[in-house]
Amino acid sequence: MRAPRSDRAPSTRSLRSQLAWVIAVLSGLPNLVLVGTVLLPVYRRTGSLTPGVWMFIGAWLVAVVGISVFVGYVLSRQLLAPLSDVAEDIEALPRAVPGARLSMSGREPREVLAVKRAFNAMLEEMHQEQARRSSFTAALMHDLKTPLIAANHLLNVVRDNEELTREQRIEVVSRLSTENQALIDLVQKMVDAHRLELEDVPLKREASDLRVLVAGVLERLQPLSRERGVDVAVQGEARARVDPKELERALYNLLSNAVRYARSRIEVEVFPGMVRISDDGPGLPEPLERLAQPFNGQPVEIAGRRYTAGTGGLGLFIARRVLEAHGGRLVTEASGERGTVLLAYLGGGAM
Amino acid sequence: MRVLIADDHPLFRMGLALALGAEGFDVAGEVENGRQAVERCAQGGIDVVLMDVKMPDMDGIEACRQAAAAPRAPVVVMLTTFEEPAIVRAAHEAGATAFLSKETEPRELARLLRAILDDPERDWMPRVELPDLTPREEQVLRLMARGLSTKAIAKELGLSPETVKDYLLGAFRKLDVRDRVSAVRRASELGLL
Repeated sequence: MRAPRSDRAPSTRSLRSQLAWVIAVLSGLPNLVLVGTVLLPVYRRTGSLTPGVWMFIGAWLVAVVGISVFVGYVLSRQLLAPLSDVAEDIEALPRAVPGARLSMSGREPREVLAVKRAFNAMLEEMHQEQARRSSFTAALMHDLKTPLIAANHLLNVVRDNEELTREQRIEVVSRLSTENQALIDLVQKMVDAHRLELEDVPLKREASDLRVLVAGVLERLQPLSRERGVDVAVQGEARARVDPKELERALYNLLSNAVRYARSRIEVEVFPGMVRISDDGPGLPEPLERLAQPFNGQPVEIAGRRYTAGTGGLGLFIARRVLEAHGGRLVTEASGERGTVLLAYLGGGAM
Repeated sequence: MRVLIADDHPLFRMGLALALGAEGFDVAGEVENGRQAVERCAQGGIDVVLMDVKMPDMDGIEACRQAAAAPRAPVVVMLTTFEEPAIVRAAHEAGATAFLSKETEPRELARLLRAILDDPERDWMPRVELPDLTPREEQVLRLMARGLSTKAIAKELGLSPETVKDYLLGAFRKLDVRDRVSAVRRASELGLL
């Protein structure tokens, strides 16, 4: 990943030549002043100078200029050496290799150390992001592939096995359809997360009934809550100026997580400017701030390799971004063995 | 033949159970994580466990280690979408008898399972070809994976940068890669780092 040479603008002046000129001028100037202050009174007194003196002055000036330029050349090189060393180190560094970083000897000037530190921090961030994405991709491949393979097995069974009863057949097909819906949901989440990661969410705010929005989402989730045997209770009434479509998306992600992880019950309370969602599940595996990142999930290690436990973090990220776009935020009120309570603040949207 | 299916995906368990049932196997149980698999094996009466690798609570490799170490241990067959050599190696070390892809057709899977149970002592694990790296090449590769430049590796090992470069090129050739990043990736896949 070497930077192409053409990146360097042709008009760029070299810092070193500028520094060399400054040093040369600074070291030459006192000599010129000296020559001036010694010779000017003599010239004034005598009215003229002998050719010998002129020649001496000329030679002296040439020597002064020469020495000044030499001093500038040497000093500028020495002063900028740590900087060129850093450039060389960066050039030689296998940057794309995870763990690559510039070594610090401690002998470098403070400013150069600061540059190195900043560069290392940036590299570290880049590698972390890369590692996060690649473990997410591995998890995603697993999450997409397993149900597809399973569906294939089931379809073959339905095709080849004539002994299946009608009930069994219906059971298999409805399971397939549920799974298909889950896959569609997953792909939709990816699309949403990708969109929300890149751009700000444009909102079409309108006066909306929060209770109706929550009820609509819960109705969509009814097959899942019924299958899992989870009781759902809704309380409170409130209206808000929100983008109903986007907020519904956020609520769907939060509520589907709650239904998916609850042991027996979830509770949704609607307040002006806030929706409180509690479940009696096992609690969040990691702090919300870490989970609600795009393409991040609970990490697991298998045989020394890191994988994301699932694609569950996507939903939290989507919800967080939508709430932030409304001027609100997503907060954990409680998370532990007795369950999770999340607060979805709507910010300026309250009415 | 009594089979235990350990997989966190309900649809996969259902598909496999129906398919294996149709092939004449007795699916004696379905569990959704490694811990349950170990517990079910301890109860006895299982001939073979079809074990997924990635499962919540306890992964398939650890479950395989515990199930295979117990007395009256069943034959453990890893059935997974993973194919990284590092995982195959870990499964081998954990005592797995075979390592199959989830994509194996049920009929073929049934045939393989019968063959495996007929001769569980045979080595059914896929070959993991490890490149024949010299100790120096491995050492240089490890330092490179820590992010050291050629110059820094040379300094660390007291060699000339040219010699380090030769070792690296040797390692690249054996790993069948062309640059540092792929070399590190490949080496970590092979469990060399």
